Amino acid sequence: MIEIKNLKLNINNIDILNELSFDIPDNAVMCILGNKNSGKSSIFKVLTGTYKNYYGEVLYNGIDINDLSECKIDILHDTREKDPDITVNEYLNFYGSIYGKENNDEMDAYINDMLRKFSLMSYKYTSLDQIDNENYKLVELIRISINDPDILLFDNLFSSDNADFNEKLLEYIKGLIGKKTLVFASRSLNHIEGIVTHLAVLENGNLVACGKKEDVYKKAELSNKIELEVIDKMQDAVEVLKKNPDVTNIVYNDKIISFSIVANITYSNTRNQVEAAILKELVDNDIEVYSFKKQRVRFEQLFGRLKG
Amino acid sequence: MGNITKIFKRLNEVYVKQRVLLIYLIVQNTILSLIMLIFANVIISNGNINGELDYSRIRLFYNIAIILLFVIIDLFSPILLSRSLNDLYRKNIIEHLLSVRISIRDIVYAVYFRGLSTLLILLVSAFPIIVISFYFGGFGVIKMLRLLIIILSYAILLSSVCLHISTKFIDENATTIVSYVLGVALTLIILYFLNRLLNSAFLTFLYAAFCVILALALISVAKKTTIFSA
Repeated sequence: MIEIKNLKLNINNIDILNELSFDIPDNAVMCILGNKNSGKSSIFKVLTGTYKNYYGEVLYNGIDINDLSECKIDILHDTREKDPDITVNEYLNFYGSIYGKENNDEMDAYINDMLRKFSLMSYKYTSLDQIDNENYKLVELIRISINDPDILLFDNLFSSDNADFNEKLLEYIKGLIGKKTLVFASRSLNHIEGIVTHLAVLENGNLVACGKKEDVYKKAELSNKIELEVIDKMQDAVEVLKKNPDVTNIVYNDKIISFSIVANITYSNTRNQVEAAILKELVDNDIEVYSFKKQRVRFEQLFGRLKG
Repeated sequence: MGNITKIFKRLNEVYVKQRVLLIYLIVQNTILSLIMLIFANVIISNGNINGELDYSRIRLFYNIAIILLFVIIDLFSPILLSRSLNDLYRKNIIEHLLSVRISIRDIVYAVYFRGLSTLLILLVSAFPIIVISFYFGGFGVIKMLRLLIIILSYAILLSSVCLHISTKFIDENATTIVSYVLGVALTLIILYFLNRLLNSAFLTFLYAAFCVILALALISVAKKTTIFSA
């Protein structure tokens, strides 16, 4: 677990972070939400040991993060190394050596496997600055996988509009849920709302809200409502939903049933899985579902309510 | 030390890949060989049957040879080191290295050793020809050793000066210009006192110690620069 206590950071007489205190539990999927210059990336730089001149305590399993001998916390940066003179293979082998992995056949086989997995094999000997931003992020994922850290930090990961790429990233990340602590720094919950379990909301270096996602939503008086339309058997659908312990706040009219989910979202039981189970239950009861719409919580809405 | 070696290796691989060093060595040794040929021609044409030579007439050639060694350092230290750290900073490499728990000390020393080692290869490659020219020019072994110490100490100092400057300016051109100006100024000062240094073992030692201590101090200050915290 990471414990951040009274974290204060000042660079060039500008307060970047102000007395932040929050925990990141083991195997949590946390999102640090905030606008530009809110301090998200600075928290990551403190966690990775890039910034050392901070005040307060940052502990990983009770040990000061600056005293960690191994790279237990690794980051997928928002920025990229603009080195034209190093190939993807050299780059991965270099970081492999930094992580204490020898450049041998085993390492080469691992790199090849991962490059194949992400369809990057043709880029193995391409200069690092020749690959586009999306493939660069995949190379970074391979780099981090070589390290196999306990905690992975993703700075502005889903910045691309490419749906296929985002899907590929999300699939890989879902495979890490429950095994690693994942922390995202983002301006929105796009793509990750279904997997996030904890939230920390920042504004100008101050913590606006922090805790389990449901608690933060509750604090903001928001709920993730789902609207359901069925072709017929409206009453049957309501009965099925009422019997489901994960469902609450059922409201319905002639056309639409709206409800909220109160399931205990765990690391192996993501919100998307709970929703899928509810949908399956309806279909199994011969209820023809016409539409199943999630009311997305927009960041601005959440932020406005928390500030309001 | 382990991380210094790894970063050194990465930087060195990149540099060797650029083939700059190889091309330079060919050009440099061709020029020096030509100088040597002219030098030998002068020795032969001025020597008498007993091998007695008029050293005053050929003194100019080994003065040129000494200056050439300083020129190598002045020319290549800024190229190798004045853009080193700010270049890594601009390419986001420093930020990425720091995030995988590599210390500032390791980065700075790796960059310094990479630059210095290349510079030393350039100098060492020039030494055989220089030594022969000095030998024919009547330069004693002790003086040659002192000259070697003076040259190496200067290389260590100027490299650290250039490294230090690379942390002071983000702009590449500014660091290069400042490094060249400082390099030329330092060379002129050393050349002015060169004869006195060559004639005294104590002064040579004192000068070498001063250069190394100042170099270490400059590297140490470079580690605390804002490049690593901004």
